[in-house]
Amino acid sequence: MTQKKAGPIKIKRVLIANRGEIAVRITNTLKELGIETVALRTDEECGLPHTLVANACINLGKGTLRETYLNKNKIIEIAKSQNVDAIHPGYGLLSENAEFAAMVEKAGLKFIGPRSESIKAMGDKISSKERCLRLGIPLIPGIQNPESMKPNEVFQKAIEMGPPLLVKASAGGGGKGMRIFRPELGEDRAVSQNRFFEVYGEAKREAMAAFGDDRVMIEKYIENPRHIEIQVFGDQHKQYRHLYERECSIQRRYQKIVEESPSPFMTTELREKMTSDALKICDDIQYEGAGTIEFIVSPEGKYYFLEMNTRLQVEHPVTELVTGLDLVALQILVAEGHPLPFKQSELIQRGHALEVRLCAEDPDQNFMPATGKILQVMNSSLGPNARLDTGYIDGAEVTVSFDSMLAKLVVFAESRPRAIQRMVESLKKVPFLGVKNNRDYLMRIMKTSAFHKGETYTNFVNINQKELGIPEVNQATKDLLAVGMQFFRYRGKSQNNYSGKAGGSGPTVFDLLTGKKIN
Amino acid sequence: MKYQFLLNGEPSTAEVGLPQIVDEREIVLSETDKKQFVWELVGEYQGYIILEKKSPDGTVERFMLGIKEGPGGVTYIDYEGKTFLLEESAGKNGRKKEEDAKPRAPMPGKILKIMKQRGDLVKKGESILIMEAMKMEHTIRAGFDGEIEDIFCKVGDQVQAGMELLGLTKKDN
Repeated sequence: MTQKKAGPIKIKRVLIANRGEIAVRITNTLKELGIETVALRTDEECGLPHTLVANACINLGKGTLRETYLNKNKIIEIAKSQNVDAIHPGYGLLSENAEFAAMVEKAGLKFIGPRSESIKAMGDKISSKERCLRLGIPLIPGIQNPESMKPNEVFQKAIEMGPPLLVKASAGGGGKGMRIFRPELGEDRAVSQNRFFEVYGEAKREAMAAFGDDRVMIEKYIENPRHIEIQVFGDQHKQYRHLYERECSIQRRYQKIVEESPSPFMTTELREKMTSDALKICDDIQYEGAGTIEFIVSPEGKYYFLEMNTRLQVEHPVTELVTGLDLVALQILVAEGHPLPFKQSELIQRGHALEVRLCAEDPDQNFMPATGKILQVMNSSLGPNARLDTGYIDGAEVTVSFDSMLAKLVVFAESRPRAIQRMVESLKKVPFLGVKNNRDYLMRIMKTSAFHKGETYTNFVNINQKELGIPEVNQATKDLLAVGMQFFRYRGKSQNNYSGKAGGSGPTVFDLLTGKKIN
Repeated sequence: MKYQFLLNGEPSTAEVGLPQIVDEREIVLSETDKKQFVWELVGEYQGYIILEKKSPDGTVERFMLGIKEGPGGVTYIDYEGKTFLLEESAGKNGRKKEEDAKPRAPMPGKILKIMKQRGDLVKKGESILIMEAMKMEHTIRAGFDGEIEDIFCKVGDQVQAGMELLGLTKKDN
């Protein structure tokens, strides 16, 4: 391993190879640190906040993601021509692309993240699991490479592992290319096998579409699992620290929508075991920068390594609020070659942080993504200890070109019940009017008894489907909305001359009004 | 008057009048269960309107509404953290349910797989087609029992939102 012996470098100008809320969030910290930023955009992103807050913004033109934000050569070209010292990849896009990280290193620039070897070592779900096996970190039983086996053998082995089974993409994450298979009671073996390979095919097609790689693996599916992850940090001086856990169990379509720290399930003993295993991995790969080790935790408190994300996570603000640290500032610090400035014993986790992801989608129509023009993001400023990370402003269009996430709303409070209350009130202030979104749904989650009790499993959305359904709108609310519409439509227009003839049957308010004086 | 509208797609009605100036106040009257309510517009705050509702027993209550008009005749109303989609149907009684249930592309995307052929009979809820939109697979299902009379797309096609993908005719089977 090549450890730089030359002293710390100074980063003065950074290209942010990302967009939306994360580009804005990174820019905010870099500005505080006196570092200039270069942003990217496509033709259709003109005027979005991430393009406005940077010191410079380069247009990638139009086309697919592959031709724009995933165009490695073009982005390196821009970095060189704009005289930056480093590239921050954000999350998603090229953030976990080992080839890109290597290209950045080769161009003589600093990749703000781990060395390309670490990305390679942990990026592939198969090789990362082999490493964990060697380190004695618990793993879920599975078939890592079903492609090399005959279909009959795959099915036989899968059944022996004990269903339900999870088929998922070897490359990438974010829940794309994931399917669950459950045999039905008394089902004929041939029927069951056919159904299994149907599910398998779906996962492969989705993996191909999402990652250009259709390799999948099969695992035993843990019922009522929790998703708990450990935030880690490493520097170039072989110091490794954990920044405690985040629980991100509540998901829909395998994508997280609610995240919190501490986990309501966590005990001191379990935290000790999980964080020490997470640090074992960092030490083994000499990890540099921000990373996350994801675990699946069973209701009995058994935990299994899932994967490592070698980047800043979407939900990193949760950790920032409970630790009081700025993770982007820390990324810069270690990228410059400085040692992490704290001992493990100096890091504390205090209070409770809660994050929800506001997405343009229709939760009542199977979370179908939605598009449209945002007419109003907020209706008042957020109170203390609430934070909205967004890449949108009033008038911006949500299109199919990018992810459906509109914003992250993050709150901090002294306790979990207070954090929930703060989240409910804060959600009222960010309607994102104009595009169908999941705000009401997130509010419904916050109000379920299961969430209050901390019964947060990855299948939360399915288990609590009934409580999360659309509530009936009562007549009093309908009246209110109808009255609101009259003021909205007609106020200021020929004020005293509404004829108000009865349209329906029976007497109307206008009939009742005749000759009456209203006080 | 009877005000008819679609609320989140559901036909709804309310007995409300039009705004009028009474004693220099801007008011609207409404009626529910033979009880009359007086609504007054008392102010605006950050683009939201504040209404005061006076009940026959003299109690008053305030409400804050955010109202924005979107394209396609849809108005978005934010009230207490809930967003309502209101469409003024003006006596049209809304769209026909069956028309709504036709197999259409919910989003722009690509056709991945078509499981049915012309002439096939399908049951409500049965999967007929898989498309990909925003990197996710979406299964298009039959909205009612019927026969597939025509197929308007093929595997690999890029389709627009709202495009009818198959000609499905209602038929009990």
